[in-house]
Amino acid sequence: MRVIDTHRLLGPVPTGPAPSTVSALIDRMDRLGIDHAVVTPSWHVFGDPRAAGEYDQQIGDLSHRRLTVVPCVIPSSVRGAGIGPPAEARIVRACPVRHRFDLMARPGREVWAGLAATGRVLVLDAMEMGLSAIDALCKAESELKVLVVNLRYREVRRGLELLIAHPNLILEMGTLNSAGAVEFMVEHVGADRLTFGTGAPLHDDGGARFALDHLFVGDDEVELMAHGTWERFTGADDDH
Amino acid sequence: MIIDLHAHLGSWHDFLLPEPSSEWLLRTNERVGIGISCVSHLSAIAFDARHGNALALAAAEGNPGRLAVWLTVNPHFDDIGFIREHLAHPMVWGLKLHPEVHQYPVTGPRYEPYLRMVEEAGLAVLSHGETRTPWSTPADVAEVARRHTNTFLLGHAGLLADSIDQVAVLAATVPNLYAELSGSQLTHPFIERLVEGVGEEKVVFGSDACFLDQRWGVGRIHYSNLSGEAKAKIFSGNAERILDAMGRKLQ
Repeated sequence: MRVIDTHRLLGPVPTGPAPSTVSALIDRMDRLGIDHAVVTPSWHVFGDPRAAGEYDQQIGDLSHRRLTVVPCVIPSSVRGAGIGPPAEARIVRACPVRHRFDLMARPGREVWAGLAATGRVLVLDAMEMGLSAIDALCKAESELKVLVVNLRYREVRRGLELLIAHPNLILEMGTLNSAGAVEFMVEHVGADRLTFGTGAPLHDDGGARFALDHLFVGDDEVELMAHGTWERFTGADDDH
Repeated sequence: MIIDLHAHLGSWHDFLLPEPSSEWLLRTNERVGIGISCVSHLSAIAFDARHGNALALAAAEGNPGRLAVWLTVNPHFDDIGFIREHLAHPMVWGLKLHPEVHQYPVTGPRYEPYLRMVEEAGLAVLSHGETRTPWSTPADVAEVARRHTNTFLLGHAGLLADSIDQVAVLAATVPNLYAELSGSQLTHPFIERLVEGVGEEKVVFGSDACFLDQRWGVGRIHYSNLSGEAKAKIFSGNAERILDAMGRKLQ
């Protein structure tokens, strides 16, 4: 079974050990049986994304065939104060709380509308920004494809409501770690709305990966979560 | 066979637990190789200790050899008689303290009568542990463990990664104190650091099911960089030693 980790950081984080190079990450992926990882470089999140290029080359070959890099964007109407989505990026991440910008202000709305118009995916962290903000964005940009990561076990109820309300939104399931939460979501919205991710290194990747192999759902549903949902959502079949 | 020393049954007030039943717990246990879970009932922690303890006992009696019970103590109520009576139950492994929910310090005098009882019974104590709270920090749980001779399990190994080094020192220096690993915060590098600091003999497995899903807890150890021997001790060997000393036999 092909497994894609759709929620992972690559590189050092301030709160603890993490694979800091591409080769270390690939070793860990091999250990876990993960074929491909969708990674945001940690310096895009914990550093200033505008300066990310200075660090990109130090970490290894970010163009590795088993990685898809997700850069962070910071919308701004002032040249130099933000950074927009690179032309080649099919997936971008926004951290409006961490990077301190207004998700719904005009510069952001222009970026999100542009992503929606070109079928690109926006990744949002539920714990960082809260589900109400995600809900507001999805209402305002109903065509925008959104991957919500890091929902976690306390927000199963609200996460389910979000999935029901917004058909262009999918949810990373690796951090849905209360008893039976993944099966509950599969039952109510379908496995085609869930995609595997680990949240590593801020969350443990072994737990999520082990869980994927021990779910009480059908093989077809596991395949969807492991890779199918993501490939269909992003048109990422050519990442193989 | 894995022994889960920290599990629950029942639902919870401030978020949805999709699968709170013993049926689900046991089905999942079977799936991942957990042979027995020691449970407290979440209603015992949340609002009525005696009611919840009765539910936990009934679940264990219905599933002999697959469930054991932590009797929950709420120090604000007088449950001495109930607890004394049921500590003798062969499916009871000891007491569950949740000083955080009950907002009473684990070091406080209202716990002491219960702690003396469980010590006399030769059984264990599982206390919620949480770094930087007024109620049950790792140092607080260690202080209480020092006052007694029976086994104390520090729940969640203190919960937060930044206390791991302190937990390692405490568990290494307090002979009857063990670090219990459940929780969603600790990633495998921190567990490896804990084991390196305290030694693989003083760390035990817990899942915190059904709060958390035991598949995540098992996987975190399974895919860690710990040795096979260390994993075996954490998953079962250390718990077997504790249970043997308590006179509680596994089926």
